[in-house]
Amino acid sequence: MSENFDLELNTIKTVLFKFELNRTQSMITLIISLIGIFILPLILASEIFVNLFQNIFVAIPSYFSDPEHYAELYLFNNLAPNITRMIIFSVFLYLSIYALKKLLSNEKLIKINKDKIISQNRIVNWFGFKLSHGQAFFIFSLALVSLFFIVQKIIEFKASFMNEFDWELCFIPSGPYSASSHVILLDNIPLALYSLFFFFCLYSIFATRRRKKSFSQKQKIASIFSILVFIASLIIFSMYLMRLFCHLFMYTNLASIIGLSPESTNAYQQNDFINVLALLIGSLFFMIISHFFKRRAKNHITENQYITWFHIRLTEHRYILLLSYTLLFYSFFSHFFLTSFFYFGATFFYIDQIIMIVVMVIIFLYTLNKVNNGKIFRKIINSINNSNNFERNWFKYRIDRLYSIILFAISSGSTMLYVFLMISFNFSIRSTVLNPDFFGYSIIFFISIVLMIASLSFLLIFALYTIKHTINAIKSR
Amino acid sequence: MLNILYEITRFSSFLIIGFTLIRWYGKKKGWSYNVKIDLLLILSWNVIMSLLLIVMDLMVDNFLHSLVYFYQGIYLLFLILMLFISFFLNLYIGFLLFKILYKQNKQDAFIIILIIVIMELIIDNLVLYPSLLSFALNK
Repeated sequence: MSENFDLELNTIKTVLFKFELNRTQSMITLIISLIGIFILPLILASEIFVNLFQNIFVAIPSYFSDPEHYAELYLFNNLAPNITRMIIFSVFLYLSIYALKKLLSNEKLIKINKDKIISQNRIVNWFGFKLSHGQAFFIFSLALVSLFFIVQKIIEFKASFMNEFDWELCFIPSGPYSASSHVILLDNIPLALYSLFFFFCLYSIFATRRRKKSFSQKQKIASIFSILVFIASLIIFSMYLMRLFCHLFMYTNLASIIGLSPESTNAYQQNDFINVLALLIGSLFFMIISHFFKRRAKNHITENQYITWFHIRLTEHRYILLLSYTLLFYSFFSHFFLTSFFYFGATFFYIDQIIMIVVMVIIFLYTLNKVNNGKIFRKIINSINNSNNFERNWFKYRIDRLYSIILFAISSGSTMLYVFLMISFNFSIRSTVLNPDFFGYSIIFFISIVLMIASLSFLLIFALYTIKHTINAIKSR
Repeated sequence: MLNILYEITRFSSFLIIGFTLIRWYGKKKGWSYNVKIDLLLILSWNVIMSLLLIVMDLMVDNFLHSLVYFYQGIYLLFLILMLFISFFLNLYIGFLLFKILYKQNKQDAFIIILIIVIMELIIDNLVLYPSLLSFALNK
């Protein structure tokens, strides 16, 4: 009976971007789209109220007051990255709302032409990995998001918004406190790297949408751990491959290809060259062995057994809450850390911040290992769905217990993040203004901060509304 | 740095808004408590939180600046501590006082206590920025 129900539950299908999703995949997609809905308005608000306001009220008036004193493309260089980011985050927000509407509206599969749907029963070949339908959907989503970020980086690069990351990539150390590069390399190497990433993303998007039905039980599907190791190794390999080109085009006879004369080598350059080679070989090694990682058979949990997380017993609700909080906090902090890394380079981080990042990654992997078990996942969804009838209204949608728990988890987690941001704004402004060296901010800066606080307050009210309408889903059990 | 005018404004606005909200919610839920109990809840809650925040302010003035100079990570730890005190501890004290004074299940008051805590944080910011703006412009 239970197995029949399990089967039935996982055949409840939703279609998103033509991908057929079962209940488990829909649940994860709902969590991701809710994270977008709760976090993206804040990022968009900061783009408008901080960066755009600075451009409109400070940069543009200064330029028009005395245009001759500014560079040729001054306005383009200032406005293009800002407007690009605003467009990209608006697109992400639209996609999140679109996914949420699709998932909550319970649209029947019958309405859609089945030939156009990418079915569950398929195996996708991606960089030599055999991916299941769920994994292919994960890679597709990741590639789609990355594609937008790469376009943003390329536009920023073309707008001469060269950041520390690009400099660190192209400058080769030539002494204890000096480094050298060339303008041709500085102009082309970062662009080549972003183009390579762009190509990988395009390939992933097309490869994961293949409709070839070739599902067979004999074919071994890759583990999620091997995919994560491969992606990390591929990024490191691509970055250091570009740095290797910098070495080759500056210190060998290949320099003549781009019209330069080779520079003389020294101990610092040679040391860096050895490091680059070691990292290239290391990342290539991990890229290759990731194909041989076996998918570990998870232990089946019986009725009397339970799973724990740091000795805390995970009930059904706690499991869903933990999964939602993990995805929420890691989406938020990885966005912050990755953005910082690709803008300011590795030297931006202090050693204690690096230790903190490493600790966070270890906790994340530990949690992922605990919650990444399809059987337990399905059992928990079954159990929650088997419980007494529960339906609540959330805006114009009727939501069941499972979706209510997810909404409660994301809204309460977002409330914590908003409060944290409010406190950090409050504290940084207070300590800056009270600093003896403070020279004063423009009135625009204070208006920006007040508008940011107003946006945070609005989002807090939205989160409170969601908590109020969904809290009963965890209360009554 | 402790700003007396800011602290007084924050304290009184929290008192007025907190009291109004708890009276409104009590009427909505049909709790029949008199004004004195509602006032006692908000007043005692506010006093405890104000004392804790003043202690934190003094800690920042005396220790944090010198520690941040050596360890950047302390800044983030301090923000997490502030989150713990002004949100989680604030909620906990609210629940505790509610349980002691109203002798009801604290789950009934979850939403109203959360609303009061969040309102307090928003008011804190709304009061802070005008005071800082005048300070910054006069400097």
